[in-house]
Parts: sequence; structure tokens; C-alpha cells
Amino acid sequence: MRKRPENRLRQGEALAGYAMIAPLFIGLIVFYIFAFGQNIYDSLTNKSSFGVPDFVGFANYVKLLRAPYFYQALQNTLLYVAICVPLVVVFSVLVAVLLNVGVRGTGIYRTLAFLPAVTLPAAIALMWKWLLNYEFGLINAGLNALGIGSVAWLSDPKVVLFAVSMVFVWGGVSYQVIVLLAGLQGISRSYYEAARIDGANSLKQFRYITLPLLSPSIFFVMVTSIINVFQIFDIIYLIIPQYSSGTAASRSLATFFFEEAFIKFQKGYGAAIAVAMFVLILLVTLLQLRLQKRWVHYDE
Amino acid sequence: MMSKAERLRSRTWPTHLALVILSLVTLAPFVWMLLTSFKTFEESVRMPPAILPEAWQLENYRIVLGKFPFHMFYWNTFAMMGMTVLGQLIVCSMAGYAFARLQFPAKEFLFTLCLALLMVPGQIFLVPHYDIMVRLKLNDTITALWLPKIFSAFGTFMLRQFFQGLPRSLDEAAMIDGSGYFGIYARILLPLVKPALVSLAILTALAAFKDLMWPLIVNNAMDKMTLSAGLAMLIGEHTTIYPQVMAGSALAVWPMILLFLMFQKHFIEGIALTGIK
Amino acid sequence: MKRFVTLLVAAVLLMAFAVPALAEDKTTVTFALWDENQKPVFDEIIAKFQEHNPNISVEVQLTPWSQYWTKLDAAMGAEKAADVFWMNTYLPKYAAARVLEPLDAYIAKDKLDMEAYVAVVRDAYIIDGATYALPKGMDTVQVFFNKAIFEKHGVELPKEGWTWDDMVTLATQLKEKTTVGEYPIVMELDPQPSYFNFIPQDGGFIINEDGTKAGFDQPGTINSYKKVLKLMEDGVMPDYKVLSDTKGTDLFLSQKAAILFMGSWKAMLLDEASFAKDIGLIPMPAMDASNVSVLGGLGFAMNAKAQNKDAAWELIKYLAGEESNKMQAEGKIDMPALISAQQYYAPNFKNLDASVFFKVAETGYFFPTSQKVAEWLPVVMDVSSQILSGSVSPEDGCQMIQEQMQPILDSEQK
Repeated sequence: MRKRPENRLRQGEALAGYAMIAPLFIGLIVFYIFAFGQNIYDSLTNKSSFGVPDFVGFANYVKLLRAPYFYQALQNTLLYVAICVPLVVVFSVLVAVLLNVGVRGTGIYRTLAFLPAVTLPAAIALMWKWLLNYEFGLINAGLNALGIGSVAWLSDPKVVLFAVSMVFVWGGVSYQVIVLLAGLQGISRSYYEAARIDGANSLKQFRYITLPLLSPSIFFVMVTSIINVFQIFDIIYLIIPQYSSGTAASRSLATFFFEEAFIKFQKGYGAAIAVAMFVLILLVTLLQLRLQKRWVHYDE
Repeated sequence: MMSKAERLRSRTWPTHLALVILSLVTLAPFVWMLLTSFKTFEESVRMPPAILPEAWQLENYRIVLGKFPFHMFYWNTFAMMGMTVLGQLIVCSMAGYAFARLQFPAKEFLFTLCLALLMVPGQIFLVPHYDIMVRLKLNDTITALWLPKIFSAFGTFMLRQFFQGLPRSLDEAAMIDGSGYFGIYARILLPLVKPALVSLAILTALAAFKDLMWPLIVNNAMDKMTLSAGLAMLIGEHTTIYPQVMAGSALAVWPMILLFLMFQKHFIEGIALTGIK
Repeated sequence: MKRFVTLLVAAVLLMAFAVPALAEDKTTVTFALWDENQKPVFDEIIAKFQEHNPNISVEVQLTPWSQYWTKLDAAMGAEKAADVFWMNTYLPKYAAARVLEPLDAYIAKDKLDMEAYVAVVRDAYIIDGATYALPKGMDTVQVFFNKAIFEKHGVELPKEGWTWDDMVTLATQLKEKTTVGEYPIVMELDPQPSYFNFIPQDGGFIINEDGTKAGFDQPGTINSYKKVLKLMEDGVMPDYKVLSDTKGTDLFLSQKAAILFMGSWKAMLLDEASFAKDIGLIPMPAMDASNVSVLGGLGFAMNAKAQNKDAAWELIKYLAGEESNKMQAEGKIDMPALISAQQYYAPNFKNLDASVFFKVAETGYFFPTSQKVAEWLPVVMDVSSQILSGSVSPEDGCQMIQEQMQPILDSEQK
């Protein structure tokens, strides 16, 4: 049998294709696909720091579904999403629009506004831990100077979640502003000129031109914010001490996972928490994709 | 014409005001961090607080640098960032090229699989990743910090988009000149997607720099920690001496801020690119 | 752009040429500890040790307390733990996991006199007849008070032999005269410096003598929590929110607090405070049963997987020996558990009367522990934080602890 040259070309191309995706797929198979399966298996064992793990069936999941801390962490996480995502979206749109006006000195304002985006979240957490300190923090000192009493930002169970959210928003807006600014710069000036001729004021221009044309970028900001907030960890971990009166009220699913898997070394249980997080994020993602069609306008 | 410009200027003051407030809110925590880092413990716990330190002394920096191997934190962080970037650029650009330009069986399936991984939260891989590192005897090494991070579905997706945007005629011309597929990729197309590579490099470097959980988990020895994990060590057992904590934080944040100021344009373009569908 | 690439390439090249240090003839022993304040003294001790043992080089690894146990567990699992490390009340967990080297054979070989150590501390590291650590030192809990605050308000100073009620009386007088932002009493509401003292002081217990029964159903245990809560209700101690945000010691050091319940492990820090000459030191006030202090202790343990066990043992023996103990005592970092070295400790304090620590130690009881301490202690700490922050009542909280802790103790008996 003689192969047609075209066929041989195809084969060569396929071979080259496989060879070039091979490094990626070796990595994906080991670190993602195998790891995913391994995690599912681990979640069915009592794996801990040392010793050989035993298979325990669904015991970890039963324990998880009975653990009050799981529900509290879930509730806290949903609250973080409900508080942080709208604030990040609103503030980042606002800041991006302000920076897009193009007043003199915009370059400096822009550089300053972007600083938190390149700052370590760990450092952001420590900076705010100090600012929000009950006894010696600058913020309570400011409140006291105004005649308002001190607030236990980081240890009052009623306040701590909002304080953490505030820090997250402060650190999270910056990055999204960069994304939105690019989106704004993609909107043609001609739309605004046409609107001005029709007599539309800036508010109307914002409502009927900026918002719809920016909606793909806003959608992107929303999706990434939801994913980021869902996995909120760094700030809580560094800002709230363990066994403080603020611990339970600020604990997120990701910190819950970290505490169980890598502080208490109940890795099997931790693996089960990770599976629960996976299922939740999957649901949220599907929901988003469905809702997206309702309000995001694409050009094509 | 003049009057229009003047009118414009007079209407910009609310924008200026808003931007000034915004800048203050952004800058204040950094300024307070720096001011505190020069204070003594006694000064830092005085209420109401004095804004400026009585004497600008470097004692806190001296203590923090003496207690913690910051030179190793810097080295580990930048080595980790460099290797993550390099690894991701190689692995993802090759795969991105193959997915964009080459035909092979099961391509769609493999690409979808790749995309599906984007949806999975990272926590689900951490326990197994840790065990893989232990099995490979790689924990407490710099390799452990970057190895699992170079296989990026996101990077592949992003670069594939860019390869797709290049005209087909380039490949055909090169093919006639006798280039193989790898040659086309390496010599013809790769230089053309340089802006995308720079963007990916910056995004990857930034994400690697910021990550806390993985470095905290995989490396236990103090001299194998990144800046991010090193900062978690600053909260001491006996007292929390905030001037020292702030000095440590200041030592951890300046390198990336400096890089940002130097390459601001690239940073902004890199981040902006991710938002474009 | 060019610069960015150049930097990147430079970084990668550096990586490639960073050749690991060439292997030396010396034996290297790694030694892990958690206390940043003690590290300078240990650096000196290690330097001395290396003078005596030129063929052994020791690498000191500091991991702060907040991360120490997590990192140790992780390192053990990965077989990368230090050869010699500090151990405390968590020792039974590691002994049960067989990751500690029993030291009896080494002790016998070198004819080490174990009678030279304070018995309670020494015995704490003997499990089922095997010794897993040599004693380092011990610590006690007592009351530090700021005389200047008492004198400023014309309130009598606390006197030895005082009771909890006496303390409340003094604190109430202080409170009437103090301004906003000053606190009569502060504590750090971790087990050792607070409720693990109060529970036995009020007639309760944490675990009974033979380690089979948890004591959180005892009236004394529940009452001791109530007494601490009462201090907060009466406003003579800041509430849990304040105390979990700022450490009691930090409040005391900022001269905002008159009375501090604190362990001897922070004595050095307090002795060097700017107002140290005003700091008084006395045993804790007595509750209904006594004023016993919980005794903490540290030991030097060896990793069962240590690379060179003989070298590791040489280090442990030296660390627990006369010269090292003398240096530790003179550095004020620890009350020696080696009886012959105790004389060197107290005279070094410039301001504090450190003899109080030894007085307290005489009646102290050792920090309660059991094989599964790492499972029940987090439960105790977690629920105690809920009790002390007022989110559950002492009765309910203690019942919660008892219900979780007793089954853990029961499972140890299997």
C-alpha cells in the first residue's frame, strides 16, 4: 500500500501537534488530572501527617455535613461574595471612569491607583492589621478624635467580616481598574459625540453608552472577582489570629480547608472540603454563564 | 476654542477632587506602614498616635533583617518567579501554537479538557501536589515552588488566541522554504506574538509573587521561603512589635513596586489583555 | 521590554549556575527551635559546642511559635525535619507516632545522671518507660504588676498570700480611679497563662491523674471560667475582643495595664522594659482551692530519622548540660531544669525579683497532656475562646468540651 503524500503530511502534522502539546499534557495529567483523582481518593481516607492512611468511605463527608464550622464557613464565603463583588465592581468602574476623563496629572493618579495591584496580599493584610488594631490602630484613633468609640474591627464577630471585606476591596479594586480602563479606551469617541449632538448629558452617556459597551469587561471583572473572593484566604489567614473571637465569624471555606488540611493535618478531611468547594464553584460558574446572556452585550 | 477649553477645565475640579481622595485612600496605608517602621515600640503604642517618628531610626529594619533571612526570601521569590515565567512561556506557547495552527485527531477534545481545568478551584490539587513533592523529595526546594505552576491552561488559551490571529500565509511561505512545524513556531510565529508573551510573563510573575498558600505549604525551612510566606513568620510568639512587622512588610513590597514603576506600560498592557475576550 | 528580558535571562542563568555547596567532611546536625528571643543565646551556645566538637557543625533553624508545630509535622511527613528539636507538651503525640528517638541507650552509655534534673520536668518526657527528651528548662505563671499605676491612684499594692477576691477588690478600686483606656487586669487567654491555672485553682481538673478522664464536667472547672468572665463583666479586665486583638503583654508593656498574668518565659522581655523598675512580681492569687501554677517545660528531642544520631546525641547532651544551662540562665531565657544551674538564673535580672519563679515552681503541676493531646487541646482552646468571648455559657461550653474530649481519651485506652 502506498500512502498518498497528503496523508503523510497529515500524519506529520499530527505527530508535530502531539509532540508540541506533550509537555503541557504530561504536566496536566500529573498535576491536575491525576491530582484530581488522588484528591477524590484522599477524601475517602483518614490521611494525616504521618502513618499509612486507612480507607474510611464517606466518613469525611458525613463529618463535613455535620460540622457547624462548615456551614458557617460556607455562609461567610457567600457573604464575602455578596459584599465584595458588588463593591469591587462599582468602585473599579467608578475609578476607571474617573481615570478615563483625562484630567491633568492622570498619569500620577493612575500609577497610585495601581499600587495595590502589585503589592503582596500578605503585606496588605499586615498593613491593615496594624491600621485596624483595636488599641493602637490609626483608624480607631481617628474615630476617637471624632468622638466615636473604638471598634474591635478584627475581633468583634459582628464586624470582622466587614473589616476583612473592606481590606479585600481596597486591595482588589486596583487590578480590575486596569482591565476596565482598557475596556473604556476601546469605546469609540464617535458614540459620545453623536450622543452629545442629541443632547445627552454625561449621566445619560454613562448609562446608555459606557455601561453597555463596557459590559463585557464588567462581566470579566465580575467573574474573576467571584472566583477570587470564593477562594479568599491570604488576608484572613494573616489578619485574624487563630482562637480569637473573630476567627469563626471570618473563616472562609479556603481558610477552613487550610486549617484542617495543613494546620491540623487532617488531609483526608481537607480533601473532602476541597471537593465541596469544587462542586460549589462549578455551580456558581454554570449559573453565571446562564445569566451572562441576559445583560452582556458583545459587538458581533 | 479657548473658551471651550476653559469651560472644560473648570468642570474638571470634581474629578480632581475625587482622584485626590482616591489617591489618599490608596496611599495612606503605605505611608503609615513606612512611618511606623521607623518608630520605637513605645512610640507605636502611644495614643493618640504621633504621625511622625521622633527620630528616624533603622533599628527595626536591623532587627528584622537579623532575625529573618530576607536575602533568601528575595532570592527564592525571584528565582521562583523567573522559573515559573520561563517554564510557562515554553510549555504554553508550544501547546498554544499546536492548538491554533495544527490539525490532529482529538484536538477539540483535548482543548476542551484543558479549558475545563480552568474552572477547578486550586485547593483541590493542593493535598496531592504536596504529596507529589514529598514523593519526588522536592519539598524545601525552589523547584517545588514553580514546578506545578508552569502547566497553565490559561496561558495556553491566551497564546492560542494570539497564534490564531496571525495570517496563515506566514506558515505556508515558511513551509515552502522547507521549515518544519517546530521551525515555523520558533522562528516565524513566536517573535510575532511577543506582546502576548510579555503579557503572559507579567501576569504569571505577578500571580507567582502574590501566592501565599502553596509556598506556605510546600516549604518549611526558613531559607526556602518566599517573601509572601516569610511575612507570615513575622507575627511573633511573645509580642507583636508592629514597627518590626511594618519594617518587614516594607522590605517585602518594594521590589515589585519598583518593577512596576520601571515597566508600568507593560504591566498595564499585560493585565488589560486578560480582560479582552 | 529589553530590560525585562535581560533581567529574566539573568535570573535564570543565576539559577542554572547556583551550584549546591560542596559536601564537607564535617557532620552537620540541624537544630530547630521556635523562640526568636532565645535564638541569640543559642547561637552562642552552638558556637561553644562547635569549639568543643570541631568535627560537628550545627545549623540552627528558627521557626516562630505560630508556625512551629505545623512546620514540624509537615517536615516529619516529608522526612526533612531537623535532627534535634525543641519539644513541649505535644511530645506524647510524636512519641506515639514513633518519630522520636528513645534516648535511654545513649543516657546509659554516657552514664548521664537523670537525678540532676527537676523531677516533674524530666518525668514529663518519659512515656511507657522510654525517655524521649532531655529537659531544657521550665516555666511558671505568676502575676506581674505595674507599681507606678497603683501608686499613682493611691491603691495598695498586691501582697503575697492574696486571694482572687482580694484581687477583684484592688482592681475595682483601680477601675474607679483610672481613665478610659487603662485596664486594671489583663491576661493572655491561651491555656497556659490563664485557664489551665484557674481550673485546678478552683478545684477542677483538666485530666485526672491516670489520664483516663476529662474534668470539664467538674463544678470547679466551670466556676473558674465564670470567675474570669466576671472580671470582664465587672469591667476590671478588657473583654475577649480586646484581648484577642492585642496581646495582654503588649498592653502591659504600653503601660496601660496594672496587673498581668504571665509566664516566666516573657520575664526577660519585661525585665528590659523601659519601666521595668516599677514592675512587681508575686505568685497568683488563690481561688477556692489553691494558687497552683501550671508548669511548662521544654526538652531537646531527637528525630528518629536523624542522619547522624551520635552527633545529634552529642548536641543534645551538651544543650542539656551544665555549660549550656549556665549560658541560658545568664541570658535570662529559661529557668534551668538542671538543678545545679538554677543558681545562675535569678541574679541576672536587673529589675525583677526572679526568685518568685522558683517559689511558684515548688507547688506547680505539670501541663496536662496525653497521647492524643494534639486532638483534644485544639477543642479545648476553640471552645474556651467561645466561652470567654461570651458566645456560649460556661456550662454549655464545658459540656461541649467534655463530650468531645472524653471519647478522645477513651480511644487512647484501646
